[in-house]
Amino acid sequence: MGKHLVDIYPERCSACTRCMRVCPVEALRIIDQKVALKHDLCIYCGNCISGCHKSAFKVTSDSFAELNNYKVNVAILPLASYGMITDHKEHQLCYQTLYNFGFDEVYDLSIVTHHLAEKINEMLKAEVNHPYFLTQCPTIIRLIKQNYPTLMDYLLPFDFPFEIGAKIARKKFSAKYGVSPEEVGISYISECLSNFVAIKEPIGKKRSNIDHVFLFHDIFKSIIKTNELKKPFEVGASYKGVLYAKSEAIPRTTEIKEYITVDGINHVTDLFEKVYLNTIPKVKIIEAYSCTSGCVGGNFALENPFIAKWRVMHYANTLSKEESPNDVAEDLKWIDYHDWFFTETIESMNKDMPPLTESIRRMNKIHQILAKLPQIDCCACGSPTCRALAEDIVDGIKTLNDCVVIHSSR
Amino acid sequence: MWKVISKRHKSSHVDGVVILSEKLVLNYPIRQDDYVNGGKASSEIKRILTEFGLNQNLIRKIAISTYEAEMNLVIHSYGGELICEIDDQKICIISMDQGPGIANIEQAMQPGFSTANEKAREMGFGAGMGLPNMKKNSDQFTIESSESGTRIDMCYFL
Repeated sequence: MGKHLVDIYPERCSACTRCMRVCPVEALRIIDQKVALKHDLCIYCGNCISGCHKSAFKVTSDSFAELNNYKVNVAILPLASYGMITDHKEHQLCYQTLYNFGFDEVYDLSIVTHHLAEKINEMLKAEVNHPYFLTQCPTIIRLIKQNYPTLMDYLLPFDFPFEIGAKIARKKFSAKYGVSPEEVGISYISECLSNFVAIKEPIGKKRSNIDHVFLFHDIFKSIIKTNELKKPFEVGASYKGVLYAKSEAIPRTTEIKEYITVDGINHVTDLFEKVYLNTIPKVKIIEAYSCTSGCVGGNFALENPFIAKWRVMHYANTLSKEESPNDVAEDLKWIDYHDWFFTETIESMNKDMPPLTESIRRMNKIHQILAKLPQIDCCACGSPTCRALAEDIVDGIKTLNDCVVIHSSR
Repeated sequence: MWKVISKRHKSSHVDGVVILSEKLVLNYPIRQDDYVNGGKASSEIKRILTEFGLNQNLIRKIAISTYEAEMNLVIHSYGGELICEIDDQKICIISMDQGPGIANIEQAMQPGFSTANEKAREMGFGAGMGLPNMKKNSDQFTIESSESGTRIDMCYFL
């Protein structure tokens, strides 16, 4: 990767340590009065971005000019948009906003998640001896890959909904417009950093099926203003599919009764620790989301996660439970069996480790330094905990003098 | 008016670290009935082993039996300590307590046998699988017990 996907505006960062304190994997430090990110530790949960009160983080989305390279442009409507919708009209307005941006077609992810729910239901009908993990949130996969590699065998094999949607949309619209698949440009309007990075640095595949990705708040900030429907048109949303936009999707969309739903990255890490130690009840699936309330709580989404969750429920209840729109059945003809799955196995990270005696020596040094530190985790030194500072001192990034408590008592 | 609750909160509860250049010794005190902190010592041990880049399946085995040992101290003992010793040959987990001791070790080693009290059972413990699992998961397992305390040694060879 040549360019970092997450960067900062140095002039905005005041080195306040807010982002560092909310990072679940201790991937941030303050060095020379500016925030620094350790990219190989980052799981792209977006906590730092939401935690920053100076908007100092920079996420560069693609340029709209690139859309001119395609004959047909399709926008994939993210699940988080249901967090802003309460009725049919507002759903149409969402589409209209995207048409106004110059997209020719909009593809609704509720069609994909409708079928996905049925697939998962089918797969987990049999007895399982270890809970599976829902593969909807890329951050969850990154977390498991990094901290719980022994749990990797229990990831569901299904690709992310937006990737499956892109596979369908490319075939469907190239047939509809009579153009070749490469002439169809697929764009995703990402509701969170996690999905954004999963498109730029694909997981479980060589190349993402999505050509361009834009940020949710860049597009939908104007939804209230573009209230004009140019002409009425059909939007198809499925009851099951819509419910997939929020946490607790599994119990509402499948017949699985043995499940655990968890959202918010800190609760997720707590729960995974228990899964790792085999101390949870016997369940079939663990539905985990990095963001509060699931995808509607994405860090680029606009609505409060709990209001968004209510809206999803409210909109779903206006839809028919039994009858789904025509697209739901029709679009199945555009998808092959293998399109549902990841194409590559997701590998755990292989780090080159020094010999054990060296690690032991390093750990002893860390503990020696830790004993000198005040252990109040005040973060003023620019490391998230006193322990992290001890590690940073051993690694030569910081010195004992960085500790404000030690420094001031001299 | 603010009321001072406690003088100072220690974030890490490693009690003492013995510094030997080729060996790492971690020592965690465990209190009786401390369900809130139960599991923290084994989490910390797991974290350190992960940082060393050891085989993941081995780490999970060690983590599970360390957790069982830690919860045994919380549930059954008057308090004790959990010690983890790491060198380049082996990893040893030692659990020591101050009593009351196990009356019949042979019986305690039977799967399903438990003397856990109601409180522990309410919290989902007391299935009687702790000691059998610890034995099954470790390469070398010794247990000795008297009224003045129980000592369990679990060793894993690298």
